Amino acid sequence: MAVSDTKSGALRLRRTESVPADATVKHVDQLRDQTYRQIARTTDGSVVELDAASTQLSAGDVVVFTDYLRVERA
Amino acid sequence: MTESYVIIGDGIAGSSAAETLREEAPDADITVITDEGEALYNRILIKEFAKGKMPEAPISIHDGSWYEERDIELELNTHVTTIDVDGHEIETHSGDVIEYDKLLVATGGTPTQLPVDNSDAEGVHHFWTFQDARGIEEHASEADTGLVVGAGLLGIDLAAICGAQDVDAKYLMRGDCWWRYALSEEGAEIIHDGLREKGVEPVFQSGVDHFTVDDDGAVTGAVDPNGVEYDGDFVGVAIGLNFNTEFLRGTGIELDDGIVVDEYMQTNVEDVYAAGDLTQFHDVLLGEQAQNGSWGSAKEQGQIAAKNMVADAEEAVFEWVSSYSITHFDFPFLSFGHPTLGDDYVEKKYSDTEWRRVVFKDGKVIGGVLIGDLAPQTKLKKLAREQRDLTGQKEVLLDEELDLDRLEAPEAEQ
Repeated sequence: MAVSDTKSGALRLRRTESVPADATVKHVDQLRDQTYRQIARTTDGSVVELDAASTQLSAGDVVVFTDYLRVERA
Repeated sequence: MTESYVIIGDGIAGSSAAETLREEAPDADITVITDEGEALYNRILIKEFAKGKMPEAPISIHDGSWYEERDIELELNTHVTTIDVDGHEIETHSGDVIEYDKLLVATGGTPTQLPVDNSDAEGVHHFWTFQDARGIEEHASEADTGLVVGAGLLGIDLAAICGAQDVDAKYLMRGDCWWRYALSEEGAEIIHDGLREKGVEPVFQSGVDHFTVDDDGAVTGAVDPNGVEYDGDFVGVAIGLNFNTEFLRGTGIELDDGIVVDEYMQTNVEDVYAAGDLTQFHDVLLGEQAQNGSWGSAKEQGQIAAKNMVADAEEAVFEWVSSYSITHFDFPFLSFGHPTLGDDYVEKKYSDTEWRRVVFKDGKVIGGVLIGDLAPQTKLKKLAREQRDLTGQKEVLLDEELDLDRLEAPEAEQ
């Protein structure tokens, strides 16, 4: 598993069509309920306040939901 | 003090057990045995690879170095043939004998083959392993027509793969809708529309009487029980799993369409535990034996088993409300708990793409299905964990904006 950026801060989820070979990819079923719930409410490009450490997501990760969502620093 | 642990199976149950064992017992001997040729990979994501949408690399979770760093012995391509539960030994197909103090069986299942003619023809695919996914991706990317059989949670992955690979496919179902044990026709119609948008046509009151093949033995299609013929140079079959327990016969380990365990993941045989899809576990929330095939459940079971193995005691209890999501469509889909069990349910359709069912047993939430709007999932799972008696209040759970404050406060415990 990639080492999460332990700084708290906003993460943005952006739709992406491609998945880099070196990306850490997680399906929503691997995430905590709270994170899943926030992602389910997220629309493309909107900023959701997620603490990187609590979500165990890092910039560059890809989340598989109804779209592929790339995690970026807001 | 226990010093040696053997785990049979390197899926998420076996692997999470290995990781927990190492954390809890830094000096113990730990051996993981798998019949696959690769270490732990993400079984949830192999369908994305089969769709042609994801490269291979992100699917792998562990490589050899993960086991080396933890001083865990990994035996790939190794079948366990016998277990001597009295002598605390297992024997592999190559004749190696490995002793154990505690054993964990986490061998999962193998897809069931359709008991019809030509079900083993070339071009008929079953889908469970990463290797299966490689074969499916290669074939589906070249196929023109397809057939999918198995109107459940695994079959829909094959249907989605056909859609993503532009295979003109028919999804042959025996009943009147997809996943008829958990959905009404009204709820399932949302799924049917989603499939049609992807170029997969559901066919109801159908199925397969036999497959047709060409002179080379490759599948060309199927004939359903009504005598209707369908073309299919790619066929995907997902009608269930046979749990990998053959090697346990004669050991005295209790089997009942899987391995029977208690809430501590203990089998009826001392020092033998089981975890993952193949367990018939005592569900403390349901109050009866249950089975679950979700990633999170398997991972948790592995961790619980490991803690109890190290403690040599009944320390950790498996108490879990599972989740299983389908992400193939523009709308989300989530199943939680045990939506096909229970003695009552309430359901409602909110729009063309939103539907909800909540399932009860003795007035308590035991599971449900959410399509389109997943906002209630946390609250519904909370109710399931709390085992609140909602007799007379079930309809509150269908409020579009679910508010648990609308429920009468639970009675104080005596």
